[in-house]
Amino acid sequence: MSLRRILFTLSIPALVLIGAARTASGQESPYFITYTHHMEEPGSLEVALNPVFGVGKEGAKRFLASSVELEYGVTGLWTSELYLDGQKTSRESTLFTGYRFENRFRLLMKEHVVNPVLYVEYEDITGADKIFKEVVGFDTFRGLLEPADELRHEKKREVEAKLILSSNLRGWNLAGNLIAEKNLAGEPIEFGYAAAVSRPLALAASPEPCSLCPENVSLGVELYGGLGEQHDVTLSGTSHYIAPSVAWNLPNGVTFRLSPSFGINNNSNRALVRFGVSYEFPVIGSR
Amino acid sequence: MKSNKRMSIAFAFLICLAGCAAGPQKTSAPLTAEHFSNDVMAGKKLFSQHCAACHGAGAQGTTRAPSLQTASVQGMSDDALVRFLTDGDLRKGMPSWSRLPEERRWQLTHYLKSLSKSGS
Repeated sequence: MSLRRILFTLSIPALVLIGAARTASGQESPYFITYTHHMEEPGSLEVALNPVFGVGKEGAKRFLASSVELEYGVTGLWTSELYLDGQKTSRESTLFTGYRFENRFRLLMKEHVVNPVLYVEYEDITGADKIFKEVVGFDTFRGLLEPADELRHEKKREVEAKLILSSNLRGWNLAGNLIAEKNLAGEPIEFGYAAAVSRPLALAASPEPCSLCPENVSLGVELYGGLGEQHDVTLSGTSHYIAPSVAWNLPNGVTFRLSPSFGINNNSNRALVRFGVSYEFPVIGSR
Repeated sequence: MKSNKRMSIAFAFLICLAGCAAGPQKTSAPLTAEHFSNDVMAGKKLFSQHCAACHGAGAQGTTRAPSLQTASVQGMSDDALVRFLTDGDLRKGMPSWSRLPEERRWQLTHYLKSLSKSGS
């Protein structure tokens, strides 16, 4: 299956979402990697498709990976998410690469200057997974040099925790995540980080209904990378990225996001271009 | 060395962007009649996008969430209502709307308060 055909296939659910959309709440941040303290509304289900197109270096093949994301607001303090991952590497097989199940718990009942959230995730993926949902340990571009058909046999059952700190200040959101990941096969704990800042183009809403207007567009930038391992916490020898990002929230609850990540050190991939389309089904469960 | 320089530039860029947050902040200063009317209209639009699914199209309440036309809500001060929208009542299922900029929470408040004046 060619990359072009996969892109076409991925666009079908996106168009279905847009066609089915009615008025719904949706005020998504432009971030792909960094989490904020904003939880899914209780009883609401968000469905998202997040393809990432990767350009490696030193002979690494281009790839298109994607995750389907189901995010549900269990309560006002607890959000659950399920991710199903897959990928297609140029001239190699198309692969389902595993799943992730995450839970986020807001720790404080009210809004504060800094709002902490605890994140816990279990993932069962293969070595061929290329979603790059975070960078930890000593992840580098060299991980993409091996053929996906070989990497698929490498099982990764991991537990990941994040401390999410997030703040809203005068229309801006600032967020920082500290990541710790442990492979259950006994490898050392790996660390990573993500930080981001974003702002809507207009803070107040206009009186008239509108789709392509500044209030519906948010711009941001993310910075993320690895922090080494348990016995060697460092910024060196791992990869780091900077990623400008934009989100367009349509009034009917559909959100489009785009974020090209650029490697900023010698260990990084050249570029990871992320797309996202999501739709929030309002209040499908009990509150 | 080269990659360290690029890392430093990236961090500096992020910090500069964060520093831009020190812009003028919206306050609850008195509005002109025209601005207030626009705020109510914008608040109505925001209400239909974010609140109507639970509270009903006219804020009359549904089985999921209470009416916002009651005396207990209409009797709240504007500041208290904005604060309530910001914090939510997470234990009872009312989400925090801090993801909306403060300006939009004020617009929602002006719309909600206009419901008692219009008698709707």
